[in-house]
Amino acid sequence: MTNITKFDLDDEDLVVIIGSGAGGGTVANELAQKGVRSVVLEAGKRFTLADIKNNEWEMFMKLSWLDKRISAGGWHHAKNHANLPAWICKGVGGSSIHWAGVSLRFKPHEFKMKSTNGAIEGANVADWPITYGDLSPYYAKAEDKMGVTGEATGTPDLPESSHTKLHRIAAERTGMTFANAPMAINSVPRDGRPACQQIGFCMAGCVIGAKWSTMYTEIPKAEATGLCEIRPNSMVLKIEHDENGRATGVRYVDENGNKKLQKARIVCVAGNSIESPRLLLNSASKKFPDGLANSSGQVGRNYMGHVTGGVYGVFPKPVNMHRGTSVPSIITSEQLNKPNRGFVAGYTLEVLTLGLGFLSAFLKPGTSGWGREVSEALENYKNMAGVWICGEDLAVESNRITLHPTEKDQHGLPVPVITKTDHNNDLIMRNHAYAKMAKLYKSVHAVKLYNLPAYPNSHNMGTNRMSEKPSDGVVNKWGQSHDVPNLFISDGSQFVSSSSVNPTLTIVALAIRQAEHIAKLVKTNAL
Amino acid sequence: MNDNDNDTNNNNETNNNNSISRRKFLNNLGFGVAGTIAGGVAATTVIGLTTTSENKTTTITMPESGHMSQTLLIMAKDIYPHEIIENKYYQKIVDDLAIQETKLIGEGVAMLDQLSIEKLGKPFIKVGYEPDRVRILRSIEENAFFIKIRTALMFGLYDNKDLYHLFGYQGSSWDKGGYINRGLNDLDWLDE
Repeated sequence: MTNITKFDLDDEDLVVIIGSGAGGGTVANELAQKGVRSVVLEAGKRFTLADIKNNEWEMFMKLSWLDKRISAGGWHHAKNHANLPAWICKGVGGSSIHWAGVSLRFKPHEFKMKSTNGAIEGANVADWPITYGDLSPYYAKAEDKMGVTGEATGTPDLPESSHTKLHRIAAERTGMTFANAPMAINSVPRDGRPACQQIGFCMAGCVIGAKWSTMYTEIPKAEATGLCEIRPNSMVLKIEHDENGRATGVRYVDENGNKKLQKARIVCVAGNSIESPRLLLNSASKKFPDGLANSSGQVGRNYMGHVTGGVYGVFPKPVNMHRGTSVPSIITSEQLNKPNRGFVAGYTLEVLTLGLGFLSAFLKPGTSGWGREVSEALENYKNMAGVWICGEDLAVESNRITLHPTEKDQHGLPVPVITKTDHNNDLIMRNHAYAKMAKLYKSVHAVKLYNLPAYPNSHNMGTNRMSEKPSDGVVNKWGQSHDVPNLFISDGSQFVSSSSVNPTLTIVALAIRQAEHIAKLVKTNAL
Repeated sequence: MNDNDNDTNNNNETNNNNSISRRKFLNNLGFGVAGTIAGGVAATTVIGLTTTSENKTTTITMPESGHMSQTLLIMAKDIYPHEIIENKYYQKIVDDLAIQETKLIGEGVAMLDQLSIEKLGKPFIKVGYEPDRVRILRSIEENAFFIKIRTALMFGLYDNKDLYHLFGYQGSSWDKGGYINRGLNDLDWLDE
């Protein structure tokens, strides 16, 4: 990639985008295609496909955001994943390098959880200020951009694997609804990228680029316009503002460790749901003592992952789950909101491969995860199959990102503390899912079942939520700050609810919609 | 790679000095893991093995190396027992670690023997009954010595290309064209 476009630090007419993942990378390209100039500041380095290997731990080390974070609260991460609450990436492309490619739309009711179920004790459930209908055309654009298989683009589903076949037959036997997952992985060559070769290791990065990632789609396309500059290895420290409360620029540390100030006309924050609120809190000033854009007090609050866990079964004969895409299929029977099950909202069950390395760590996380039980399970690796539970995690105000009072990171910034405790609804839902999986796996002769607790969160949402009223949330229906008009949130932290599906497709749909709005404001000089 | 200096320095030291390297930074947080173990540093955080156990600094006579090596082998096989894996693989993992982490491992083995003598009247390698050994190991599973050994084994056994085949795991596949034409859907033991 020949990237010759360089913008001046004093250029006051730029959109400065912080983060280059599904949200930031998409906004950058959408703006560039509409003639709006931007600089993307990305904390991580730039990878090429040659850096991607078929090895789980090697790629985990290479791609993950490993700056210090602290897990706190009642979730098991506080003990078992004390410094890794979330499993997300640091690099140009962000966590879109790591995502599995599952591209399901939210259900209409998932945009209005409060009017669906009323207020829920101990939760801060709210309706989105947009409806499914508002987002629907942007979902279509996102699916087209990302090449989502199946109905969305008219491209074939990915081929069936043994791992899928086992679940399909089990679902048929138990009357559960089964579907091939709509995937942002090419089943046929498309958009200059090849078709999937069923390599596996999707979450270690796709070696051939068959899976959509901003790393090799949106980012180079944005750069090719000459209207977008990507600055890797650039960690943002603070967003600056003027006396009128408008954002004026962004302070960051460049690749050589030098502190810089990039001036800005508009700032888009897309650092994922931990770094984005952390940056707003770290941008506190005399005018905004509780953090930038935080008059509601909601910055950092309502942190959501998914109600999750894993279930792995040992079967009498080989499944070879490692052959093929990491998440090949889903079971959707429990996705709808049916409070008579004893919990509100719903969940999906996503067939998920773990390799031998990851399974050895996650089968029984924590200090007691050793001994015969673990080693016997691993000796059955070939005969194992598994799912990942993806259920709606309710927004709870006290589940939040805060700044550690004394501990600082390598840039001198307070480290984030991620406090989370399961709501009772989460516990009931998770147990419901474990029971459903036991029934499912018994129907195909499982000889042993393992219920795994939650992994570090790859789905992080809600910490700068949208709201109609400024007192209820951080941003409006465009992701625009209620307090600072030229500040936008462009990632999953603007989510109001977490839904029963993976967040990336919705992040991309929101980013396309937001970029269209920003371009309109820029062209009419409204901002 | 020499990480020995980090064992005495795995407290909550605050780092706001830009010149501190990334690795040093991580190590100071108690993430230090022997460098030959691929992925070890942050991986320990994934599986929750970051407990910074208080290691007593009382003077302990270092065990003789043959005894240490034998003790570590038995311990390793109790942690992840596999008949399918030859002893030499376990032995190499623990011996390498003992060289890299002389003090931690030496003191750990001495501590293990002391515990074993207190509870069962003999050093660890003389305890013939596996459940007895496992009970002792369970009591030290949050100790830094045990965690170091266990972490090394987890990577050395399960992230080891030479051993994948024993588990039916096939490792890297892109170099073989993936599975699209290579047994992707060969499950034949379930009736439709």
